[in-house]
Amino acid sequence: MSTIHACVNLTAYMALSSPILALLNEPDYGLKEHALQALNKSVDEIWPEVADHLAQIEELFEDPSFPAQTLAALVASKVYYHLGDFDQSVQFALYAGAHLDMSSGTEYTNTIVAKAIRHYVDLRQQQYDPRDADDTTTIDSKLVSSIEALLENCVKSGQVTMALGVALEARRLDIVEAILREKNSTEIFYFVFDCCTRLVSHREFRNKVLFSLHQLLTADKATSDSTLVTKIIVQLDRADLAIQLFESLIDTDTPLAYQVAFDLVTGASQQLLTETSVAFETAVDQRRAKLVKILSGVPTCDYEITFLQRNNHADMTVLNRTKNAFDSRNSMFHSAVSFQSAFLLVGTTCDTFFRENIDWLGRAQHWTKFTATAALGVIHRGNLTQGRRILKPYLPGGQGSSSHSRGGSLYGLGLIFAGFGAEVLEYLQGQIIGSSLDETQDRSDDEDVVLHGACLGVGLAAMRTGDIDVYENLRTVLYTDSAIASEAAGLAMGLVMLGSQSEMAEEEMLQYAHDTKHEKIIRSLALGLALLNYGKEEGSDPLIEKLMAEQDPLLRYGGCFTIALAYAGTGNNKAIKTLLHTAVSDASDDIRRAAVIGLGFILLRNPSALPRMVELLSESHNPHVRYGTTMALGVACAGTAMSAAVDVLEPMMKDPVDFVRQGAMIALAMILIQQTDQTPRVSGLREQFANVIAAKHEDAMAKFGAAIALGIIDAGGCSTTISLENPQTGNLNMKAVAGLAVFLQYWYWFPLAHFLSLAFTPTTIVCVGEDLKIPEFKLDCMASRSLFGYPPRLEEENLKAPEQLLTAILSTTLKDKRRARARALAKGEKDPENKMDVDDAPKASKDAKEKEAKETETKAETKAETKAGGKAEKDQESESGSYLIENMSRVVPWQREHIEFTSSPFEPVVEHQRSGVIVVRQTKPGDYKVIKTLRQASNIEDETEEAPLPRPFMLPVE
Amino acid sequence: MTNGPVDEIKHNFVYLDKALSGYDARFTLKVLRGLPALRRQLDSEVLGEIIKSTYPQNDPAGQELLRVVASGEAAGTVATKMSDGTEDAVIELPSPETDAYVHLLVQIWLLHRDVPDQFYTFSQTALAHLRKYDRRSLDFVVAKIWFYYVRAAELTDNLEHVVPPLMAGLRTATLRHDAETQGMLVILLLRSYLLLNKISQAAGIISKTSFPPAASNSLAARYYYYLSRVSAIQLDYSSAFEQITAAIRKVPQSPASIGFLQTAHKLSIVIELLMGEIPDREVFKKPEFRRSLAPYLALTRAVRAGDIQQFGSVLVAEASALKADHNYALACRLRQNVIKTGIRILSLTYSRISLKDICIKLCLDGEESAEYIVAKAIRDGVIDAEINHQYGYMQSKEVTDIYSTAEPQYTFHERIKFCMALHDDSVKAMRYLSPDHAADLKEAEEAREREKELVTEIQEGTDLEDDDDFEL
Repeated sequence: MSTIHACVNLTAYMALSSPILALLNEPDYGLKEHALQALNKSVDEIWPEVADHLAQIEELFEDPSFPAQTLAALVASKVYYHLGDFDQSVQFALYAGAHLDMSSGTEYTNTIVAKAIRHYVDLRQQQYDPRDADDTTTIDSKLVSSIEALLENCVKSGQVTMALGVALEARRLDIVEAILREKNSTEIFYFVFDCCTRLVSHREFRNKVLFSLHQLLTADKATSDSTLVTKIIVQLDRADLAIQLFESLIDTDTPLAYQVAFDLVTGASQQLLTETSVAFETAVDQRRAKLVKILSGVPTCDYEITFLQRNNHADMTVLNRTKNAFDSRNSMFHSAVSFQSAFLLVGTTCDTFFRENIDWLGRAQHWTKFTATAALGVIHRGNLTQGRRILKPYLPGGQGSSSHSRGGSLYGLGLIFAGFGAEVLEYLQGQIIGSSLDETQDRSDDEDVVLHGACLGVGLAAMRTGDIDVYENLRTVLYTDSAIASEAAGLAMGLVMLGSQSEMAEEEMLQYAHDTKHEKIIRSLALGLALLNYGKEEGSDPLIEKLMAEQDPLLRYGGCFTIALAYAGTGNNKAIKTLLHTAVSDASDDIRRAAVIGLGFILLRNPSALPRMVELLSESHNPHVRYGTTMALGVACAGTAMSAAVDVLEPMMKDPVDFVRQGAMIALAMILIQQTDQTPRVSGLREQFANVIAAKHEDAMAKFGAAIALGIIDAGGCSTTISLENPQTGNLNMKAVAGLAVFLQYWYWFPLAHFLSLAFTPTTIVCVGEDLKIPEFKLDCMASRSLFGYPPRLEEENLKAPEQLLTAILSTTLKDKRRARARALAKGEKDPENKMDVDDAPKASKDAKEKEAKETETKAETKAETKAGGKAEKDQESESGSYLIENMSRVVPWQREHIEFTSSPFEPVVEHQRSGVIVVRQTKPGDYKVIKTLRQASNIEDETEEAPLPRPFMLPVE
Repeated sequence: MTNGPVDEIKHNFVYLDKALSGYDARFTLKVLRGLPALRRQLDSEVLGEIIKSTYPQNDPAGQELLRVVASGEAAGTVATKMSDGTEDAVIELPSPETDAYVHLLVQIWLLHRDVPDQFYTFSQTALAHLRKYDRRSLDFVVAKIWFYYVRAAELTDNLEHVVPPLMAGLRTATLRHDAETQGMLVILLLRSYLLLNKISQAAGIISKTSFPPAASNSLAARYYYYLSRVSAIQLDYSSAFEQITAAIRKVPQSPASIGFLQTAHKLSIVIELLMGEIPDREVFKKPEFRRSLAPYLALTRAVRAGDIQQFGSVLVAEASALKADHNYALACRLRQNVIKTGIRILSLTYSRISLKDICIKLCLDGEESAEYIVAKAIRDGVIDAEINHQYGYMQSKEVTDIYSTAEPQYTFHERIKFCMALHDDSVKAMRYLSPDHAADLKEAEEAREREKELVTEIQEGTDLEDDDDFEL
């Protein structure tokens, strides 16, 4: 034995490794064990030689009569570790038993632990979601037990989040539940919820975790956090849980129940809301009746439209200038002005522009008329009380309107009632049934147009209801195989069944898409299929595979949008990979464009990753890919003012291809919506948009984009933003996402651009009392006022512009005159057309002058007003840079965190709620005036004819 | 007067930060390329100033550095206090890159001051200090520090003790995907083993680790050199020759690599001779090699002549030079080759020659050993001949036309393969445009504007012309 000891002591010198290794060949187990012990100590230095004897060591490990099997395993594991074969290393390490101290913190153990966890997570995910039916992955029980022990240690040493993370990754619901039960803290619950919504990519498992989270939360009334419960309910989309929550709250904490109801209205699906309100409808008690009322969504809608009406800061000068710069006889330019006005005034009910420009409106022909009439619907979006009356003159049966305005008004009606369609659905459906029943006769083109509008209207009004009757009516229209009407029907079917993944609908739509010859219908059905699969993630994989493998490019196009909508906001790697691959490899430009746009939808929640990802694509040789990049950035970064995205987009405004410039401008407007001059480059951009519109030789497509961009950037009178994630519930705003997806189809069909109105969310805080009335009081904003101001209005340039216009006209008219004279001399007669031009020019300039005078007048007025108001408010401003804002005034998203209730006589029911409708409790006694909403106002005073259209800056009506 | 190097070093700090912010290792490499020029200007004053302005007053790392720098000088030249009071500005902790770079500078300074013990201990502390950082931007600098560490161990005769830390470092570098350090450590291990004459361990390292393809070319060249040395010692001459050729090709084309090229060519010549081939005369004629390769030229002449006596005398005469190059043992093996060459010359000269004559010409002991040697030469393919045992003579075969064999095809294939590999490497080495190509876009935009203007002018121009025509 002494010789052995001598060897062991000398192992510091690796030259003597061979004697130790030779010991492995000895028959005596004692010697072998001794050799292994020596090796275990020095393996880090002599592993290259030991590696040659691995087979022997492995044999020892497998030899059941060998007393030190575990030691052999450890040595083998270490050698494999040095050789870089980590899988083997982990395998052996699992059998090393007590010899291996997992928590020793050496590089070896850390690596082994990391690899073991990775390996386990992979196996578990495969087991949980097997690729093939016969895939029976089994996991080594040793691995399972060691991972479990590891997690237990983690929890014991206080690294709870780490353990939860691994457990969630490994789909171990039992462990998650155990940890949650042990550590019953709100923080941990929120952590699990966040992980679930943002990181767990498997939908089914996520729902399971959320459900058990809900169970744990509600089990203990004392710790129950209704905000989190609401979020979970919205994620799970389960009415029974909502009913349960309301039952527990309504009698004990009524205001909180109302708050939850308001949150559900903004976040939850219409189906959930309907089912929940049905449960309370029968109750006679007043609280429940009020709850049902809130759940109908009407009060929220009412607050929003009242806010928008009262806070309309739209700069009509910009709009008028676009109108004047564009030739209204050109249908594209006419539509552009319609869209700009619609977006600029969305939801403000301010339709003065249309009323003041009847002659411009009159120049609309065919589909331009359709678009312009529908624009009226966008402006009155959410005006549930008066919407129908306003559109009445244009609706079928109205005073002698053309078929296009009839169709447009039906579409507009849908836009007004989008998502709250109960009131008008029957009427709109009547329009469909009326026309489509007489299938035997050939419909005229006129009827097709009306039907087109009616179908879109029905789709919007019945959006996401999953109503089978409505669906079947639309299907009847679809089956008439008329390019115009069926196109709208296909899309509307998707809207009605939005996110339902109804098997019947999927099958029928796909079948018909194969049968029909009309490309328009195929495309709309493809998009309908995409809408159908909204948010279904891996559930829609079979359809995606089918669509992406289609011969017909139109269906592959739908496939791209299906990926985009099914995985919207998930950041799913597989989806991104598929889209990126398609974006660079598909033969069709349309599909490549759609694939790149899809990236924007997938990275909705994590937009900061997108600019880097698409940077190279933005320099693609293919203009369609470049356009796709602009829209992807526009969608994902909407409302974020992210400078990285702006950096990519700004150079694209100078792209040689017109539609890329168009996309860049629209996307920039979407990103920089509501930004003040505090954000660099914003004011410069507005100017650039205006320059594009005014430029003489700019391409029409780019001008169209610039006009829309100007509408978007100040949308809803500067009081709305595009927010695709609900701030209250943390889920995606389905209506907005679907609206954006359909909006992007304006590429093929301009009228669909109006769908963007679904994506605009009012940015305000509406504090309501338990009586659902809005008290008039002030909130604190703990930041300087200048940060959140409105953009300045155009003034000085306004004075110059007409002058330029004048000279421009003069020079051309001079030339025209000269040319006319030449021709007249040649022909011997005067050209009547030219004469008209000559006459028109001075008149136009005169008009402009008049208008200018009028405007400067009003400007002076408003200026004086704001000055006075500003001065008064300035006095209230304290040194800390905070100031007071009215209840129900504009609160831009990045302002929310600065809002406090410290000096106000009310406090919110849910402490940290700073967005949307907030139910408040009175803390200081006293009577407060109440701001009347549109609905309340119209109910009491029953005004006739025109709705009152308050001018901007008017003080609140009592 | 010390402003030159101080400014340069501070400038290098900026480059290091740039490398960090731009994820671009080129800036780090640029800094490292400047080391040979910079090292001559380094003195304790420069270093003291740099350390004082880089490290906060109470930072232990800074104090340690300053102590090392100060200890080399007479007391008073360098203030051992961190701050001399003139600078009130609070200095933030340096970035890990800057930290590592300053350590490297001190190391280099110590190496050239010829204080091996201090150099070795400082290298150890430097490595221990830098171990806490885990950043890929550090790789190139840390790899250099490892290099100087082993150099210090070599100077202090501590090579045996560096193997365990090298192994541990190699494992860490591999796990962190730190290709540069990984490559450097593999080379250092091989070098240490070779210097310790532990060939089997070196062979073990070669077969059990893979050299990272991402490591820089200069490392790859050295790796191939050691690989070739191990192969040559293990009698695998053909792969040794391939490896040494690869090493010579991979060497960066800069004057700094002359030393390596000389060493590599020495090995290459010996291996070529061992393979039974005669190296190109050009190699010896190059001015930069002429002197250093002189012993090898003598050796080659002896082998070429196949003169065993001449060979013996050269071996004796040049023994010290060969031993210094660690090539003596390999050169001794050439004895067999000298004999083989002699036999080849004989076989080419005589179509038939008796074994006895061979014995006399090659100074061999007896006919029997001549028979064995000839038989071996035939078996090795050195000569194409037959032995007639009955009458005791060697009969050479007719020289076959090489172009009738597949040999030209093989050679051609080898060359094509080399060209393809070169092409592939060049493609891989290509880079995308730097992101600041906005200038190009601007140009395109301007061109578009000009075109537009032109169109407008043409339009208006034709209008005017119309008018002019008319008025005339």
